[in-house]
Amino acid sequence: MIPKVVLYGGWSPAVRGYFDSYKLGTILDMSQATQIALLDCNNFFVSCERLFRPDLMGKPVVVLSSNDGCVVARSQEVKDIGIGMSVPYFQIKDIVKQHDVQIFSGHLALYRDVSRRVFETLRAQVDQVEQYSVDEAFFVVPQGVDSEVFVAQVKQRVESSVGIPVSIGVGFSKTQAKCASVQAKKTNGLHVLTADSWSHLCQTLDVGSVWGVGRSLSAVFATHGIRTVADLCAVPSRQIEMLFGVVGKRLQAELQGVMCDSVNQKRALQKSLMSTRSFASNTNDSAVLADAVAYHARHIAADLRAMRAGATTMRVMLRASPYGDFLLRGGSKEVVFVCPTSDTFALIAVAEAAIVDLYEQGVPYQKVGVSVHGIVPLNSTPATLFPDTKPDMSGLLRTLDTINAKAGSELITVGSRLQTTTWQARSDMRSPAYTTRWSDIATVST
Amino acid sequence: MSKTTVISIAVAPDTVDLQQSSPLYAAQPAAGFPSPGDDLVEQSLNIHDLLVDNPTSTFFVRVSGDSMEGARIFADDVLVVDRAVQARAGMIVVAAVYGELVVKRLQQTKTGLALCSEQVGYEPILIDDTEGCFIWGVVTGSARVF
Repeated sequence: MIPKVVLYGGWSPAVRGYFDSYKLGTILDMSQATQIALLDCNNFFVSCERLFRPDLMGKPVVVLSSNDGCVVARSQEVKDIGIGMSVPYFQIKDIVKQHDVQIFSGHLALYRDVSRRVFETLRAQVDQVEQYSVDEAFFVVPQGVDSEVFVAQVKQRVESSVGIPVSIGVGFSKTQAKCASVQAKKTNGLHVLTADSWSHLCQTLDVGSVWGVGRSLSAVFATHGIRTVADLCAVPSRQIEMLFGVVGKRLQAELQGVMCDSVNQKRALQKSLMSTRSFASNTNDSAVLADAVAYHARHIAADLRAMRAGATTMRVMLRASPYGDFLLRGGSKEVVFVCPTSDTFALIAVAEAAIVDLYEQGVPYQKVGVSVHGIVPLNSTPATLFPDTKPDMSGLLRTLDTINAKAGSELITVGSRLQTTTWQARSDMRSPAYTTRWSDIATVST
Repeated sequence: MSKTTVISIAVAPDTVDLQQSSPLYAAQPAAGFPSPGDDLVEQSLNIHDLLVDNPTSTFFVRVSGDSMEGARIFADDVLVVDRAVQARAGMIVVAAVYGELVVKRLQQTKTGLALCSEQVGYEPILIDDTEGCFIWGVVTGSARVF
């Protein structure tokens, strides 16, 4: 039975609530509290595509996922037209033609390089930085500076040095900073919250728009009459804890400006990796399936090695065409390794065995994928008495990675049955590798 | 080719079985005067260090056209462009001019800042339209492969 929440109006009960639970009354003097900023690159992939193409400024630009399947980034002009995020490309082909939208296939090498430049430029200016995603980072605003002036300078320096437009939001916790960055995007790209402006903004801020509040949680909030951030802040913290556990309590505290999640400079390892792709057309050819799954396993293994990490579980997924009677004929298989591994040979062997198990004659398969989970750094794995993966192949594989990185493609690869990649849908609209390949650098006319 | 050094050692026959001894002394022993530079380990020269001051803000572009030959910038040269350098009059810059990247010398004229060629027969481009024209970066070096 869920206890009923009694809602108080106004700001003071919230303050009382958080006095009770945190005994941190002094933090209420916001001028002394640590300010957290979130730097967020505006329409990052689109901005990368525009970096060497000033002719694309002000024009609608869309970036598609790696197999040209869905929209993954949109310029402001595209958002204004009304093209949604993650929409399949074939659905927007007409609008694209009508508005002369420029289309690009996702170009990860370019985006990674630009992202590295953005965050190195940021790190040169502030000490405590936590990169949160390819285009976002939290940082601590240094003590004793005028935060408005400081973040404006950070923004200006990143934009001029790298050429990528960014927004910065500042609050007293990561959650507040995230809210502030959303506000920043609506104006000139900077938004610094004060205790006053926050308590004002709270009143209208939909709780569902807050970082970490999904659709289901906001629905539960709504059943208790919590619609805005101010509503949530006004509930006594002990009641929030009873209803939503420690996660809810932390969320409330973060929204009240109490930092629960500090800026963690150590880059946490990704928890999982996934490589998956639809076939250019449906197939039941087991050789094609084996080749495709080996391709994904190779790429994941190389990514793991680049992270100096190994995976403890691997899942192989085979999806059948949703048309006809085949919807339920695909499946997935999970394999657990005793020793975390990044060994290409081990991953391919497991992946191919899984595909053999999953394969059924006559089913048109649409998509195959490999994902790995339980990623741990390889230098901290315990020794195992009975290892299930082969002895260390790292020397050979590292050499392979180096050669392939230099070549810019899979020049040397672990053998598989097919020597073609005709099953792959092509990324036809990929931009040149402006920053990672000499043959692709931009041309300037005199 | 490995050199074999013969070292004679006197051993008491009953303590060492000479038939089974490992060829411990077959390799050249490290001896003699040590190289005086061993503690000064230096890397060989890397051309990148000479050309690039700020790696995070430096980009490379290739030149087409002949209008900057007066500044010894030729077609197919690779230019080193540093976006962190503040552009000033007199510098060679890469600029975006109505959607196109061009390399010109930034010069102060009576009517304002202009992008000038280093070859006769090219008109300077006035940067008065901030929407269509902006400085992309400052050229800090060039490289040419013959």
